[in-house]
Amino acid sequence: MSATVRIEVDGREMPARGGASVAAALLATGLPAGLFCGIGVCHGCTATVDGVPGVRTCVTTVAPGMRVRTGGDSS
Amino acid sequence: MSCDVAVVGAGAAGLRAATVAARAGLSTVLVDSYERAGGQFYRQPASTPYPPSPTQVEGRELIEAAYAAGVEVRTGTSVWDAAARPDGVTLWLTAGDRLSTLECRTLVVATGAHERVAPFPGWTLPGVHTAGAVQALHKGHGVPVGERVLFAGSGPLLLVAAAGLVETGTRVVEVLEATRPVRAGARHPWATAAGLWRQGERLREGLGGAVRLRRAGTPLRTGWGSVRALGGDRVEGAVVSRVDRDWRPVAGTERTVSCDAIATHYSLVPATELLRLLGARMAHRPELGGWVPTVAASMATSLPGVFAAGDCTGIGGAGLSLVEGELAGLGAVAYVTGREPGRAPLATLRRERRFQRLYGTLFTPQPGLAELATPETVVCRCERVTRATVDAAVAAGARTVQSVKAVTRCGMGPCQGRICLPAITRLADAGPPPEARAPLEPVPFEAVASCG
Repeated sequence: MSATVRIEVDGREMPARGGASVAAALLATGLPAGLFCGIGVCHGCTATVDGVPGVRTCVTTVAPGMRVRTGGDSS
Repeated sequence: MSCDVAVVGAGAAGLRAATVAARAGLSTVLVDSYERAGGQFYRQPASTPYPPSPTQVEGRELIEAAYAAGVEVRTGTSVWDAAARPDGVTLWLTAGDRLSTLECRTLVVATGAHERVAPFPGWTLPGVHTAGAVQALHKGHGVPVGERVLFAGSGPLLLVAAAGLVETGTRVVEVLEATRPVRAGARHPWATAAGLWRQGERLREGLGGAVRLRRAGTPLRTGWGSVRALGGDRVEGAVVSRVDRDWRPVAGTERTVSCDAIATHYSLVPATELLRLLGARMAHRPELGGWVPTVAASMATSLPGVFAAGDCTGIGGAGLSLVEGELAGLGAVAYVTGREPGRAPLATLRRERRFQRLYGTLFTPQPGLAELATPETVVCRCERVTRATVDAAVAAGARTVQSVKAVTRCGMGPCQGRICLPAITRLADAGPPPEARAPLEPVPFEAVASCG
């Protein structure tokens, strides 16, 4: 339904389904996302997205060229 | 920026309240922290591999009605602070790194609910998710969380989410519901009959879910629960057992289930942070999900000009949320214009209230749930506080949730206690409602500093 976009996760480029949440994109490629509640409440899945720390990846939609840094983000 | 009516939360209740207010000619702003309006029940995925469900279509119609009425919808916007004044309410908003304020003459809080989870050994392992997260991932994104998923907990969402998963071909190994609905219903025959009166759609959905599970070969066991998750780096299985009426594991019935993901869910908790921050009067009502604001028939809270509607006033589902949203919208219009409030659909309200009472009868958490955590189990995921630390604090005299929080840091992390405080409420006495303080959502410090 939506075209594939390319995002960068921890320096590695990977495909993601357009319209997917960042957490869903990570899980789809087998990467742990820290996802627990899935609705932005628990903050377990936060990552640095395009330089902004503490972004809840389960409620953030992927965008072409988005840079995601997982880990080391305790916000 | 100022408006007549501000509504926080664009789910069933908020959409309906905002639409009613805007149709009456009032300037109405609807704020929601998600990227798209709809809330949880009427969630509108950015894109999905599946055709839209009837619920998603209904949600789209509610959203279109709000826009058509002239509601200014601001998605991706969270309230991080608020103050009630005699002549209105000030909301401090954050949208990404942009901050703004919104002055309104009257406020409708429709912040919904989130899932209740109970700490159990192994629940912090990757592969343990809430049932809602599992449902959102597969419905919205087509991403299954595992190949053999165990559902365990209590509440209709457990069954609905599990049935949805088997439909897309994912294997659900078992669905364990702690409550025995038939037995519990038989103890309250009149309430049960009244609660199910004219609820054909809900009954069909529940029975349909059970049938789909049966066809997929998935056992649906009532009076069963999960005791602990097994695994090193991630979930590899679970120990499950029969549970008694108080949801305590029955000795000798434990067995091991092989699975690579666990979906957990123990009904819902009203999201009352904004109401508590504003200082609305609260009451502890376990059958409604915990702390809820005391509201009048008009959905007016104890604060002048502040209304509350939907699941944040007590778990009741989308049907009740729509009626409560309408009532709150009518109340807000009457408050601003000084006119008599318009007529509300009272027959629907009575029907949905009866269902709410039945839901409370069947799915209110029982004491055994608090006993699943062992001393070394992490209770607060954000601050990594264990059950032993909480118990020590209670033994040392921290009797209320608020004092446990102060002593242990439990509930002070980024989730602001939304996940752990309902569990702490069962380990300590409830006491007064836990304080909610700004910022309700993490706000970039530079952004706060820049607004002086």
